Amino acid sequence: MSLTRRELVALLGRTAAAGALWACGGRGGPATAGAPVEVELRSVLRDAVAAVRATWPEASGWAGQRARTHLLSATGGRGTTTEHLAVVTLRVADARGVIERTTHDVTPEAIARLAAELAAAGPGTGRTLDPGAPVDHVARPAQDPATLPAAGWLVALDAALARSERLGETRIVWRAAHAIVDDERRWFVGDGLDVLHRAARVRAGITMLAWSGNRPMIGEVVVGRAAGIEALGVTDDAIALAAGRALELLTPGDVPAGPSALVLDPSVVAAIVAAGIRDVVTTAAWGRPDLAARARLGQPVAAPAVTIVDDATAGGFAGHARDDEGAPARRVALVDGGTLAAVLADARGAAIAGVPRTGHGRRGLDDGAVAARATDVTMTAGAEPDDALLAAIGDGLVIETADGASVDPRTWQLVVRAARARRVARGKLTGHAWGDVEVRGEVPALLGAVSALGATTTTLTSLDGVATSVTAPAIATRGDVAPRRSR
Amino acid sequence: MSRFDELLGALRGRGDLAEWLARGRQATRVTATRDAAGALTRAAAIGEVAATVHVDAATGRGSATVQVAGDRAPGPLIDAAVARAGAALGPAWRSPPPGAPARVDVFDARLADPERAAADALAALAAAIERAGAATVTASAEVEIADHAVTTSRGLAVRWSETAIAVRATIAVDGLAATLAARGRAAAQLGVAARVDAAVARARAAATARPTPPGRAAVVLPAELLGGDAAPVLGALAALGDAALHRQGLARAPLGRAVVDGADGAAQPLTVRSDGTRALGPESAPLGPHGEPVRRFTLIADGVLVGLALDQREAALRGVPPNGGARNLTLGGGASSADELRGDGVLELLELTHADVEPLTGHGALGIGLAWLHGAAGTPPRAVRGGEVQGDLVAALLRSRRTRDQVIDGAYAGPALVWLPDLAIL
Repeated sequence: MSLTRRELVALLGRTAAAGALWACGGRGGPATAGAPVEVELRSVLRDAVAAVRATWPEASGWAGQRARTHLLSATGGRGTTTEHLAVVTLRVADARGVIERTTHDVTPEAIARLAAELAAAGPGTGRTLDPGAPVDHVARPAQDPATLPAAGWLVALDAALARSERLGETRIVWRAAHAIVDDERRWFVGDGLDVLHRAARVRAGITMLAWSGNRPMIGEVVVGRAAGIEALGVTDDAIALAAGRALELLTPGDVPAGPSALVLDPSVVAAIVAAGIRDVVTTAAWGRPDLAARARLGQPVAAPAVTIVDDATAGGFAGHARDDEGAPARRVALVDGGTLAAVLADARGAAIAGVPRTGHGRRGLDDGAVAARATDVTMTAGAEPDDALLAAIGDGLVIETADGASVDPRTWQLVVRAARARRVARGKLTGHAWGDVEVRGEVPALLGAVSALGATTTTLTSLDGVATSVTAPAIATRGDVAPRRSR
Repeated sequence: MSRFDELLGALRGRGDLAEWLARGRQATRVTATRDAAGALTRAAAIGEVAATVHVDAATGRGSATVQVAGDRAPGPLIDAAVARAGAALGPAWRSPPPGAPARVDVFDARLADPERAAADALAALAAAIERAGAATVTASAEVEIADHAVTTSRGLAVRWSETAIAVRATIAVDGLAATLAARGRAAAQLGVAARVDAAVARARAAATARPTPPGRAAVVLPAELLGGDAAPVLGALAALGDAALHRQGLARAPLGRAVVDGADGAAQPLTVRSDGTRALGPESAPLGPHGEPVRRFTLIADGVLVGLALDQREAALRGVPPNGGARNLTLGGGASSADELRGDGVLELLELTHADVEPLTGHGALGIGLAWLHGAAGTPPRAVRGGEVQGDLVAALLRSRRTRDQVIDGAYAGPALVWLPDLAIL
């Protein structure tokens, strides 16, 4: 059976492969690419901030620049596309409030014009800018995307695709090895500070599509790393895992609904941590007076074995030395021994919420707007092997391969969507497996019922908006299970 | 010379292109925010210049799009786009002669000064919140004014300006919060005062809300949700007319047939129109993204699929005029009163926590953030929250009952209330 590109994208839904297909073109639709920015932004930014600082009591500038390359080696085609994005934001403040001006026209003339307009509107209470000596935090990956020609990057993906084809299963109708390579630079210039942060990141993976009767089955494994082209490879284990997911035969009907003992695989735990903790315990969400999490600060929200930290300083996928407001990054325990311990904050959010600033003011490259956003979040692993987690629940379900989660801020009620549920009886898998399921529960209830944590962790990465990651182990807990999008 | 003019010069000098389209957009977007930390004003200058090139070969046509940014000359970028287009060949097609752009009003002169307009809209929002006896947690108003230019190798050269405005707020009443959002092309479309009042009512209702009882129930979707968080439900309706899906045999229902069994004989047969020419409609425009003129068309007539959304390429492959795709969906009115639809056991959704709708099948889940559970006539409804509405939402729309009125909320136009039969509440 052959598939058109549009069919594939529809079937693949929100997978990483669908993004690669869109980005790399192929049959049926236009591919898009942009031009690189060749302006030396640091000196232009320093000049602009100096001009503005001369008339404003507070002034700073931020610039971001990114080259993002999509790579695809797939059944029926291969390709690469590179998008370039650059943005500059100048920020001024006085007693009347804060003004920010952002432009995607990063030519020196446009930035100077922007600075001149802001300077002319200043109250005249500024002084000479002294940003101090420039400080660079520059990643130098083993194979640097800034210096290697993109034409050769597909070799590793071609090899992964070839290895996947040796699996030889005729039910697999489409396979793709795909990757995103980001080369990103961010500058901040303000009083006493002139910082450059450069990061190289790679998300590489393999996706396979098979039919099970009239139902498409998708197997996908994606691994993200703060690294260079050397991270483009896809391991044999990942290929085998993706094939296994695509070829699995499912039990007819819907998963048995209702409360159950559960083993949640690391992807499901990561989805819970992302939607239930990371996106809630920030000053961006903290303003709601009825936010359920607000009333629980300093109180238990998880079992004592559960600790969740955000640490931009640990050299992870989204790490940095300073945030986009110039504040130093630091390790923040969000849940410490089961207690809700801290809130991620940017400068403005910290002032509103009355919490300490934590160095999480991060700007999106699309619009240059700042908000409190997490970096690398980790739930600390336990000591239990996978078999012990099954034994810990006795009878119940294993929930695997999360596909997103939603949370109601008023109630902290969470819904996690996942691809598989497997039955466990007397601590062993029975072979029953259902597709398209949901796990529901209040976040404190799901995390409070944790009875065991696995020893191995998985890291899920995202490049949507700003780079983030969540690392989590498998857990044994209790929650409500239901079919997803039932008839 | 502007970047757009540079691009035109580069495109016109080439002989290796079968066709091309250049488009430019220069926008200023101003966001005014007020919260406990004070005032924040953000202004962003957005410039986008792009070209789509088409190359023909013996085996078909390939297309690629390139964005022109920074200070690079467009020539080498077009070279790269041509190479990519040559590696992406599909069926052969040729653009029809350019049609007249839709004559549609997408500009509100009162937003011509976006900084002032954003400040005024924010002030109006703050005043409405204060009048309603609520406190502002955060409130923002965003105004955008954009100039568009489209030029093609077939002789089309069109320029137009458009405006857009949106407001968002989180309000607090007695320690309870609710959010509100509205968008349009003119400030007068937003209905800020009514939305603030509704948000205050929702915040108060949430204080007494109990868990949603599971089972099966009829569900009422109000226009405020169809124009906002429940928009993916309308997206599944639009997918019924996706021309590419039809060409590939993937569409749910063939043209000329009832979308679902019995839809043409339903008690209140559904008619759905696409109106990309509605004055000040958020999705209205003179031209589509590929330079095709936007036209009104009927997607579903009395439950029968009768129209397709046709961009330049899909129209050319069929040899029919394009219509610019599905925009500003309009649902035909029904024959019911609001009281008739709010019957015993009916769940009227007020807030969603999420909308997870699969466009190809119409099956989906709507997270119940807050809803009214109606009781017997004469008894007040109970506030409930939690759980999901699940089922085939497209089939439910085709079998829906609706109020007689027509209201506009964002891109949605249609009945104020849409009653969906027999959905699972989990």
